[in-house]
Amino acid sequence: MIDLQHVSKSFNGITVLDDISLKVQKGETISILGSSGSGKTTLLNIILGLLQPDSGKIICDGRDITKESMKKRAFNIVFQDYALFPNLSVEKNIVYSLRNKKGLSSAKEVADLIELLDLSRHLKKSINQLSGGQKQRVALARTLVMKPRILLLDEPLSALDGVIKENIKNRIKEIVQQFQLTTFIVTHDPEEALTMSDKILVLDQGRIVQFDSPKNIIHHPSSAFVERFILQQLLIKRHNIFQLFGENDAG
Amino acid sequence: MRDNKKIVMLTFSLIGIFFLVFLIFPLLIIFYQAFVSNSTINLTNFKNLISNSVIRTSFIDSLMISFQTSLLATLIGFVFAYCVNFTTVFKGYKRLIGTLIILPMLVPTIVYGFAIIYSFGKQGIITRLVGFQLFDIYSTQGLILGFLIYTVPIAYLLFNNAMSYIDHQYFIVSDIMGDSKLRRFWVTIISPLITTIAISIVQTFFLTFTDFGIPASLAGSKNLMATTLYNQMIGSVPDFANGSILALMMLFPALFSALLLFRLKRFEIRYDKRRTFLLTRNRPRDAVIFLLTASYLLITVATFCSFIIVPFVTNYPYNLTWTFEHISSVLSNSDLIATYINTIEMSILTSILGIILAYTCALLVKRSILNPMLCRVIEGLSQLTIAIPGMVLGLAFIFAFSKTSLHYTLAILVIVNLIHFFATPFNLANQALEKMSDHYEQTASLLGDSYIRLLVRVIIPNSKQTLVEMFSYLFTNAMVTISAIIFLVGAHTATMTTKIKELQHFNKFDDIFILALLLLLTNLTVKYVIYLVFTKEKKSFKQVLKVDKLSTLQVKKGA
Repeated sequence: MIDLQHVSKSFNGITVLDDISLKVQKGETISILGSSGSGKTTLLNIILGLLQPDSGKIICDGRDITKESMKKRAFNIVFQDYALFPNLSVEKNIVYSLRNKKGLSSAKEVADLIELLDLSRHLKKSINQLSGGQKQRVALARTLVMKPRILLLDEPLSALDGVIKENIKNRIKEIVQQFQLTTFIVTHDPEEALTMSDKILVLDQGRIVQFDSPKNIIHHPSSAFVERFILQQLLIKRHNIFQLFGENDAG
Repeated sequence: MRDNKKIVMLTFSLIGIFFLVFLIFPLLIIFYQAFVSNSTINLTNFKNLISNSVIRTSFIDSLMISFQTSLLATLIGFVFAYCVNFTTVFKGYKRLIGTLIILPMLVPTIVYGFAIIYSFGKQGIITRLVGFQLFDIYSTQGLILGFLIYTVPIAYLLFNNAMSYIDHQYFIVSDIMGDSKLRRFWVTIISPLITTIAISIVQTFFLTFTDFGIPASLAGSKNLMATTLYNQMIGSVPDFANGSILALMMLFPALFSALLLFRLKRFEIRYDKRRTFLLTRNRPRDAVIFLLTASYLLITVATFCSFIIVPFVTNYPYNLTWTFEHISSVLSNSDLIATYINTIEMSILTSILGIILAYTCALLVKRSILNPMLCRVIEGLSQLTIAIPGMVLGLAFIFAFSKTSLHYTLAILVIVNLIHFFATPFNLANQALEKMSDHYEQTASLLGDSYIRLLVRVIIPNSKQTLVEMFSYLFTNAMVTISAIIFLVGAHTATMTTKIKELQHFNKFDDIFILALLLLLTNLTVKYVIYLVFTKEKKSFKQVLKVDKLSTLQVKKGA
């Protein structure tokens, strides 16, 4: 589906991405995991087409799209804070792109999407009346109406709290499966990455440290960094939770 | 003070009395003068005046010209702000815009008119340069040019501020969503600015409609409300009844637009966060914007070139040899020097007392146990001071105080300025006090500080920057104001601006331009001193310049 070959990028002489290569199949969900400054947002912007790599190629469905504009690539993104238009209602935000490209989604498809994301009660509301989780769902709907070839999610859960987080997580998984969407999720939270995706791309200082399935990352960490950054965090979490419930309940 | 009901109420009462005596009472007198004759209410005066075609024409002309100006100024201000915020024209040019466009704010509007006469009039510098007169300066075009120079900076500041809140992420979203260029422009720029556009139109309309300086200097074939009112009151036998009715005719559109402004401000869209991204390069767009802005700047510079040249030549336009004679004659003219000192004195007094008044009011509203109803009273008074044109206020003061010992004193000038320029420093202080932690008072009293000591040790030091901004605003405005004080100055209390008006009678334009230059220099010096104070706070000089004639509306500042 999409194939990055030796992509590098630097800003003002500082290397942000260093020789990134990866292959992603259609319908796969990839998490780009790293701490701040690891280059994950830059990688996202390069895939989206907002930034041009200094060197390397991006191949999509067999075609070199490295020089193609963001618009032409027809990928789409949901930003961390959703970037919904505050002057338009929920409904107008969702069908926003249909005025530009008529027939992109049929009325029934839009209605199904609204149903799926449980937004029918909120259609007439203004954006400011929504909670964080609701905004996230509206942003997802607005993006999916466009039937993107690739969906990018920038820290999709970081602005949400507790229960809503799990709820949105499941919904994203459901949608990705139903639409067979190739999805990139940028996150700094190992738990999120490991539970939401088929493969995880661990970045550190602009380099790929490991690109593997969740299982392999847990059981065969490729380096001390992965162990420290991912496993340690999860182990502490697991320990705390086990302590809360008592070891016996865990099994 | 915060918890001591007695002191809070005492302070409130003192402030209340001040506003009652110097705002409410004079306004009521205007109504009394207008509608009561022979101790009965009647509308005879009113009817007579309305049927007077000269007055009717000047009223309609005023409205029309103000409306045209407001649309044009809004458009031009928008283009300038767009140029600075969203194009990739070179940085130096953006900086030039930021400075050039604001400079006119530092001289009184009456000078714009004279500058226009000397640049575009029959013998004007530009007229001689191009060989023919570009337009009739004493017509609508001349007036509108003057008003534009006055109001475009305000529109620009409003837009520049609003645009700095626009989130660039929406450009990306709009682009991915497949918007056409036009829709993209509409969605990402125009629609978040709709309210600002409306505010700008109303605001510039208000300023134009109530300005005295420009119609006074370009009073030719067209009489506007301000000049009609002035002529009514300045003749050998001032007509109080007619004056008051004219004042009301000026007051009502102003009041209406001010109310509209308060409503509009509530609709401003706020984006939560702002991210900038690289601006896209678009050569044709940038070229068009550059040409538009540069030609307007050129007109402004052309207007003010006379202002720099005329005082330095022997006898414009007949003898163009270079000379410092006029400068030295002004500087040795004891009358003009006395005027200058008097103006400085008035401005400093206005600034200091204005800070005390506004800060005390803000303390009462934001940080005391004052009853919310009474807080609303202070806020209402503040809004009222915004809505009242300076000339109307000045006239009201004559009606109310011409028989008292305040007449023709420095005190009355300071007081009228305190009322006229109350709202902006009050809002500045409010914002500053609001941001401070609510628990300072409790903490201080637990630590054993008295309220006064808390004020001196914590509250005031934490609002130092705001106090300086308040000073800067009050000082510059007091220096350049004319509308409110034109009726109130006496032989010994003339200020620079009223002196300029007086010198117009004697055609002493060299002196006028030198006084204006002196005003400009003084204002720049004060701004520069403030800049030096601010450099510790890492502010650029341009930002300091910007804290300027926010005049009737508090332009919102960044967080």
